[in-house]
Amino acid sequence: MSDHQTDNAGDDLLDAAIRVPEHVIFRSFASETVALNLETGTFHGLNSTAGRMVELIARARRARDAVGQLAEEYGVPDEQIAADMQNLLQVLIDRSLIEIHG
Amino acid sequence: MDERASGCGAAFGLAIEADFPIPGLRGSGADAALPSAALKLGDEAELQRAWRVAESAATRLSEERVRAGAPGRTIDAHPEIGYRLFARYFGSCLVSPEGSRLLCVPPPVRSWRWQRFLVGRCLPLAAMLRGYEVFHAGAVEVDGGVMAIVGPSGTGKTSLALHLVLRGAGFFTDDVLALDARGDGLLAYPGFGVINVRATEHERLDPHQRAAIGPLLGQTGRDKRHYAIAPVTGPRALRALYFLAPGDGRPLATIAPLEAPQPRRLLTSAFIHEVRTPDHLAGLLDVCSRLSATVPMFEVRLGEGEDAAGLARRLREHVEVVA
Repeated sequence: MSDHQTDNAGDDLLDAAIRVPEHVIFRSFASETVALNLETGTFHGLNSTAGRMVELIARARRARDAVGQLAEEYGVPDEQIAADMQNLLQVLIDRSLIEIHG
Repeated sequence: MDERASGCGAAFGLAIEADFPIPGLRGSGADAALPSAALKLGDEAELQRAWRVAESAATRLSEERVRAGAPGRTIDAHPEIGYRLFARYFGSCLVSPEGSRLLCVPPPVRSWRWQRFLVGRCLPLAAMLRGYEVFHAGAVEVDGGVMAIVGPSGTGKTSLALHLVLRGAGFFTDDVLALDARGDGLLAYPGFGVINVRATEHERLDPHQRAAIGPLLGQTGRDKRHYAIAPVTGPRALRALYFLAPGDGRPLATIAPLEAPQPRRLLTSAFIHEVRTPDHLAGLLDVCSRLSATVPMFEVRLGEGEDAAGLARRLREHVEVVA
């Protein structure tokens, strides 16, 4: 896959409506966020930054809407947040912890 | 046999009503408000009749074998009949799906012996099914709050709890701590009034200390002495949680705050892992998250030259200062 195609796929993810399925719950801890997939009984650990991303993504209409706030909170450029978010979204999709709608 | 043994009382947050006496079971005066658990003695034929319906559709949740041959411990489950627990030398117990009824089928041994299985495995499962979260922890009460000691088997939870009690703390539970997170707070419920003291620790106690624990119920092999001990009655808030960990060669134990405890550490401290429906997993995660946010936690790295009595003295001072 070319870089261009990868970027497009990432953009698609950022612009898609993200939903946390009913069989997945996220809970915050001081050190990290834990996701539990109730269908598989599997716990997944996310570091605190990823946990905060999920928290904001779950509230946003689409993932891209959370980029600005995260960039401000962490003091890094929007582009870096967007790239990290694309990677995170792909990991969460691979583990069936989020779903894409539209 | 403890002459005060009763069949009615409270433990692990359950109002227990048994048709046989259970040493260490005490009334709290407010038991009626607790979820009930009715315990009945039965025989193998009665259990087989009840389980026959489940046989073909039951799932084996766990099986432990010490050596080749029949397993020494099993847990089977059926969605409508419940859970059948078996342990060699301890008998069987059928726990209803919602944990409100237990049919106990002991082998022909003295009651306190098979009741170690009842108290140590079957009733904690019933408590979990009734909505509590049960952790592998000993605990004492200090100034109205509960100080819990978490750690793998053999790390000295009971010895520490015992010495804390000998220094004036209230006995709360040995090995199984029931927590209720259904309200706004997080409440701990006392366990049975029985403490299982390792022989090595027992040998260190002087006669006055042994007498101060309570009546000796009996002993298992050469390893453990089982004492009846008066527990605190009624729920308490959790004041602090101490994780015991192997030492790093220092003579004295180190006690350090866990500012950001790893969720894995809390999740793996749950007492029951075999029986986990999605609801129970979600409940466990909720309780661990709430523990992490509200209860001060500390890691105790054990010292090579410090006995349980010495560490208990320091922990008692520590909890009064920091939690």
